[in-house]
Amino acid sequence: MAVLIDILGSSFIGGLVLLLILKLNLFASSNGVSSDNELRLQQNAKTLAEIIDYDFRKIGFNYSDTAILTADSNRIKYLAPLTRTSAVDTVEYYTSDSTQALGTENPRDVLLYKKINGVKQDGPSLGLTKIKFTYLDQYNVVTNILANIRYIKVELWVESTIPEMESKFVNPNHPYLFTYWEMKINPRNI
Amino acid sequence: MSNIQSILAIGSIFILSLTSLSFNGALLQSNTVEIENKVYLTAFSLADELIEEIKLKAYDEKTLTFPTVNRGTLTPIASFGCDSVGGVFISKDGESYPYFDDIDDYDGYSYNADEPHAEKYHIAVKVYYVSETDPNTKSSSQTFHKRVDVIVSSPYINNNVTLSFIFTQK
Repeated sequence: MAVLIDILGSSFIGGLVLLLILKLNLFASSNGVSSDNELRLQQNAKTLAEIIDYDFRKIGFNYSDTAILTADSNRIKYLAPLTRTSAVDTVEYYTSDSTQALGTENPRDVLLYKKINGVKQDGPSLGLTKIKFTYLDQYNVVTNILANIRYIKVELWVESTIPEMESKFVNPNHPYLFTYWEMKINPRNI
Repeated sequence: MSNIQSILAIGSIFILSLTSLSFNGALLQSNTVEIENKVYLTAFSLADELIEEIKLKAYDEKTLTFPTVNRGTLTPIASFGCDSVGGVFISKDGESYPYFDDIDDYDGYSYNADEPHAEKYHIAVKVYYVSETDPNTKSSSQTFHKRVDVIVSSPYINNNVTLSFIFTQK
């Protein structure tokens, strides 16, 4: 009888140890993927922010009248010379719907389009799911008068481009990592 | 012999429990760090936003129209700042937020923000004169350099985020 209890007891403890090792292995592999996914997500958000920041700071340079032509919450059209040598260009930023970003697994992401002088450039997706522009005057009060805009607040909602295993437990219908980025840009020439 | 086996079994269960606990702790820690990183990112963007806002203001109340070459005419440090009156920040020069017109009006200004990632961010501002030869040294007298520290805290991060910017008279 005592031998049987010993065998059962040791089998139980051995089973627990085996489960622990199994969990450790699973965790190690999923954590590696998750960290990589997370890092890529943050890099994507930063890249998008840098692209927008770089272009928006040029708004109104070499142009003395109202440089912002359209100011919607998801679309902006403005005048800015995009290269040092070029004359003033008409630049437009807007997003596609979620059916256009076919290169990623995420069904919600959209493409960010940049149109220069009416010519559409291939935009990046980088997991962007939503972009919102808010226009503020010199006192940081929301305005829709184009000539009064001094700041552009940009909010980016970015998700991972591939599904993530750990997120499946949190949200099985949409297992993607998420990050949010906001910035306020004050183009010096408006 | 039976007693020794029992002690060994209890000991092994104890070691197993400790291992399991530390393993779960590590797992939790890893997730916490991941989430904390996102909160830090947003904290940086909030601090950066406020600095961007302050960049548009004049260097000093006395240089709103014309710059000065005389440091003595600038606002003394005792006159920096704003007070919260019924939830509205009013600077010592008499302007209420968001109508602050110079950098030092923001000294003592603070607000709370909730973002999609995490709530309860607290953003606070400190403004002071710094030495013109060493921007890390505070100056009790007027100089042509003002340093703005934007401090962002949150219950979800271990250390506050402080972003500093040094303004000079334009």
